[in-house]
Amino acid sequence: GSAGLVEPPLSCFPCRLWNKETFDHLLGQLGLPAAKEMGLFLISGYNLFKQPVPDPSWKNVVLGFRTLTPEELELFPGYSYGWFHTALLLECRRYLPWLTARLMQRGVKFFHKKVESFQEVSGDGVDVVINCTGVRAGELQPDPELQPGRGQVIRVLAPWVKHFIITHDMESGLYNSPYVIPGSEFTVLGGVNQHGNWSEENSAQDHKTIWESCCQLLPALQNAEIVLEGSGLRPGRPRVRLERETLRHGHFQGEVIHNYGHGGFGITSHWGCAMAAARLFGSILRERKAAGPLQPRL
Amino acid sequence: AAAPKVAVVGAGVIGLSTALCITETWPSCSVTVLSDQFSPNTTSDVAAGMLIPHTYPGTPIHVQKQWFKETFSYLFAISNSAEASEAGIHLISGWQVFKNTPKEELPFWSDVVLGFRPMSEAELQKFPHHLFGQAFTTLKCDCPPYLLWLEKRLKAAGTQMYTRKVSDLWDLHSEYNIIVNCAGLGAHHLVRDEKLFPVRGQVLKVHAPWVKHFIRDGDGLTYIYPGIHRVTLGGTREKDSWSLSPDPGTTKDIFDRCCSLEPSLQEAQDIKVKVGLRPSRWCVRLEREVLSQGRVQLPVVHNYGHGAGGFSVHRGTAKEAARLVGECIAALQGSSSRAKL
Repeated sequence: GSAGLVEPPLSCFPCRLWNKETFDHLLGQLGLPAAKEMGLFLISGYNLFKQPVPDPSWKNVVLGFRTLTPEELELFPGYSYGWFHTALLLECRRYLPWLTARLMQRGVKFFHKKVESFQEVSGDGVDVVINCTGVRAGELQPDPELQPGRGQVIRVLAPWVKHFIITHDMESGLYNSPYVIPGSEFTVLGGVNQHGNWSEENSAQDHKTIWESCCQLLPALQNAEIVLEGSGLRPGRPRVRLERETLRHGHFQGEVIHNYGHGGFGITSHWGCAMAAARLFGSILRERKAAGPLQPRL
Repeated sequence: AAAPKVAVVGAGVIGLSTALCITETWPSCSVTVLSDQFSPNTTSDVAAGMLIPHTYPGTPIHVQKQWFKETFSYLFAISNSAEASEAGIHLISGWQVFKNTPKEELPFWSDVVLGFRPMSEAELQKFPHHLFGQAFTTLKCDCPPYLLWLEKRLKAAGTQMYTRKVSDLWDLHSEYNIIVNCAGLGAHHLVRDEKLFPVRGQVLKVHAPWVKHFIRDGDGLTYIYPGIHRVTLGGTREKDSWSLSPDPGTTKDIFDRCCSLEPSLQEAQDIKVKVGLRPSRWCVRLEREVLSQGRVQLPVVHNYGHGAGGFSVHRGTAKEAARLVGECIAALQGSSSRAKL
């Protein structure tokens, strides 16, 4: 459901390293033949503000970062300050199948089932569980810090739009302000982020807000054909939960690596987070090795 | 005196935009467009329509800059309106890259396009064969949509348009008071302008919708210009070639050069090949002339010879041509008053 723009939110620490690692990794993939199959390409665009803001921490991670000129700001009445830069776009409807294919090539098995507990998947021979359950992680283990950030998007046909445009309203909050993100086929219009709202139904009011505010932002959208509309739940959390945990429950003991709560910047940080999770996995392996041959679990 | 009857010869971007400017500036005139070709069969239809000016050696730079500025402002307003998609006008960002440092670091148009700046080291890493570059945002006019949009506006203004091959401007003198010659390469025969010559350009129009930036080699020979539905890959500059047939060897060469700039183009689909002959000249011929045969006079305004830069300056030259038409109208009214005495 996400638009796939690799761009961090304005303030995120310690995500900085994960975001840089993700961007650099993807940049390296750009020139390879797989890039199209992955759904990866460069895209430039605008971040718009109603007052001057400090440069973001990632200004040197992305390409060609600069502030907007007065002539450029004429395009966006109501906004008095902004940035221009070149970012990456990773379309999940291509990326996820591509990842799946690569995993299958490496012998990874996929099971389509609802997991009710960590114990359930920690049986025979499973050494480590990696928990990437996103917004519903609380069903496996209560986490009051994890809250949905409901988003709704309209997908349109507007291939004349070649830039992303992201507006910022310090009062309404992150992703709660109109944005336009072109993909390889459709352009995504969005701009709601409703904290605590679990509804995955499309809201007519949100449709109106998104459509009108995006058309006001970019008049060229007025004749765009609406193709699809959908909503999704950003797995919001004050910080990403990326850590090990040893779970003990009666006779059961198992290692869990949590990697969830990426909010609206999962794509932006995914590779860096995955590498961090892999490093945690590595440390588990080293400990096991140091501890000698595997002890049978009682 | 009856409203002057103006005939515009030519229906490419120059003919149609000039006709439109005349209807806007002199609403009492009747304007008719005559051309042997209309969109999608004009030279303009082959062009990518990028607003990156071509430099005419014989025209003062400040004039070229004024033409470009007027064109850019005009299209900028359309791109930011509800008409943008119908008119085929959109903003696009990208890079102009050089294998050798260019003679002039700042082209005359650098402060007309948006956000012009040198590329950073990190950006240049994407182009290992190039050592210098410029990043900016400009506009693109997709054809046929733009020509069709001009035609629609002309029809709304009451302009008649006829498919007709004009071999001699004098053929028109009994029906029209003023002729505006926007015949492009056709002027070579129509008014026997030996200074006008074709520069053949072959291009590929491909489906590669993930390419969102333009990339242009500073030598002007290799370029990637994403339009609304297709990406134009170019090109060639073959002086004095009149051939409109696509050359397969050239197709492969263009494709290879463009893939070298943008490797993901290897996955491009549905490759279509087109050829256009740029109506090239030392300078754009933008001037009045009064043809005479015995005592009969025929005022003509010439507006042709835009070569590789037609889209970039079309509105500016159209406005100047309309102004010259005004001079023709004044001269006609002056002489008809004298005739009444």
